Amino acid sequence: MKALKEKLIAELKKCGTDLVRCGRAEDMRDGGVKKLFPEARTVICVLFRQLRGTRRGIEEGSVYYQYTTSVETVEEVMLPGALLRGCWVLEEAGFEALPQRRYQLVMQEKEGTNFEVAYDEIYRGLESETVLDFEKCAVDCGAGEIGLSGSLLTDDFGPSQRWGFIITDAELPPDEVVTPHLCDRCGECIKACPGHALSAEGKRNDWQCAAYYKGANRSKNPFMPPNAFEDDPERLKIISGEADLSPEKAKEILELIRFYPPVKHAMVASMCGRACDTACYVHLEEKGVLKRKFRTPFRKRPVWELPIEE
Amino acid sequence: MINAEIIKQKALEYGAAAVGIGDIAGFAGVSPQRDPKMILPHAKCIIGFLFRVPRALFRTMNEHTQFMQYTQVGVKYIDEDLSEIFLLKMGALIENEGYDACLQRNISNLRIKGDHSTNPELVDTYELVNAEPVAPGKPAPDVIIDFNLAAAVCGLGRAGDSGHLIAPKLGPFLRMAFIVTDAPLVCDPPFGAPLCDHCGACAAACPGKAIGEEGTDTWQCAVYYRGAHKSNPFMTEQFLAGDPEREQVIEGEKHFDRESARAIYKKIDFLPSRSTGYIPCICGRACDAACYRHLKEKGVL
Repeated sequence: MKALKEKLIAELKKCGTDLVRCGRAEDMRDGGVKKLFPEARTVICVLFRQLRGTRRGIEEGSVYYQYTTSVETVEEVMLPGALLRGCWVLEEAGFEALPQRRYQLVMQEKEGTNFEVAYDEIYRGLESETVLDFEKCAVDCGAGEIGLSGSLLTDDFGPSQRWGFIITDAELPPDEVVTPHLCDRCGECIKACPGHALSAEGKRNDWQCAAYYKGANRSKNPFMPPNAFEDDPERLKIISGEADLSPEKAKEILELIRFYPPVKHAMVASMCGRACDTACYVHLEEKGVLKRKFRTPFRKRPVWELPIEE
Repeated sequence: MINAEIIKQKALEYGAAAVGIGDIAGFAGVSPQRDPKMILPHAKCIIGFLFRVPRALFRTMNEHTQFMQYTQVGVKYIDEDLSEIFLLKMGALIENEGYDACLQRNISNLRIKGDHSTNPELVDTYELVNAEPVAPGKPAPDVIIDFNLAAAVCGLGRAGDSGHLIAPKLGPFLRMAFIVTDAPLVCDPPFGAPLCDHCGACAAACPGKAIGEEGTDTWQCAVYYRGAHKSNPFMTEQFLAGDPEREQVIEGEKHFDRESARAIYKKIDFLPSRSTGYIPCICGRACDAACYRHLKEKGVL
């Protein structure tokens, strides 16, 4: 099985995969794994880095399109290709292999949202459609740890990766689960959010996050016209990120934020650029705890901010 | 110098599960609208490629635990991305040697003029009703080759009673793509007798009774592919509430034609399709799953 794992990793690397980690199916805390594949023995986590350069445009306030399209390309093109290639290797070896890509337009929960996609395209309450907890499964595969903001952190890329899984009945040698050591609960992720969507304990308010991910904060959205939300009595609070949004209010705001075109596959163009993750990356880089080093630091100048006009 | 051996080796390396090369003469007598020589008049052969759809994707659908991964990874991704990237790489190999390589991916959403069928996998299909030949002797565009025939010419497999290709290694769990070329490649013999033994398992499995003696009624198939049947795990009491034909519909007893199928489409909205145009398969491709089980039991795969 060691040889099969090596072959699998080699094939996945040919598809551009950066990291591969294997966990024992029985160690998965997410019951969905066994529900989908009762005979599963191994869950393989297939990770692609998000290039640091894709965050550069939003960091500089110069280009926004490249960040979300790069997310979309990894999720819609690169990852499915690698997952299929991995499945083919396993099927050729006589095993069953089930690919799992992140699909955010379906939720088992009746409420809530996924901030990366258009809220009104999500089908909710679908219990018959098993949706894995990607973060939990990645941790159980030994890919990394969960940071304060809820993001997966890896030694290689910090919070900057996308990933999927292959569930198989092949019993591949497992990798060790990581003892958390990256997140020091510095709180930079919480401070960086332009919508204050993360509580002091790091719990994310998904609707709040969705509104500010899409650009409700004027100080971080160079595309917002001066008259945005002009009829709203809470306009100033909204555009400064101080409003506490109910799901209904968040939907109302999301409908009004049409300052930048959406990306394909119902993905929302990110205006915050996942500021929580960027701040986390900057902190981890400054601490020198990431394996992948760059010749220059990511943050090269103070964070920019547009004035809020009353 | 490009040859059949190099083509096959590269195709497998790039991700094809099977590859075959067919003599273009194998299309003799087909309608000009289906004829690859109308795409490349000096074509010598057609290269066929099969892509494996993981078996486990069918399993989760049939066990009612997950449906979206099949459509997203097994259908949309293979047709829209993988096969296109694959064909571009293969085509470049051929064109590097000075031969033409006309790439033929699955044209999922179009139907040639006169073909009134549909593709159940998509939100809808468009028949090219207004197409006109650009010159005398030419067929109306688009020429869309018959993939099942092409696969048989390439020696890869032959369609079963459901109308789906069955290949020795993969059964019906596959997708296809082709290249029409003037490269003088050594051709494989066409596929022999079909693996389908007309057992009827595919027809029996269809919740919409869409498979009959004349093959698959694609409009009937489309209605039940997207979940109008009672075994749909997302079915609700609100579906067609108040419609006197509700029971008949969910029992698979109502017959749908193009107009009635299109009329009911918007009411069959159980899983997301708008962002891609691909309809999630809620019948679980019961026909193919039944076919695969039968062929496995017979030991012919």
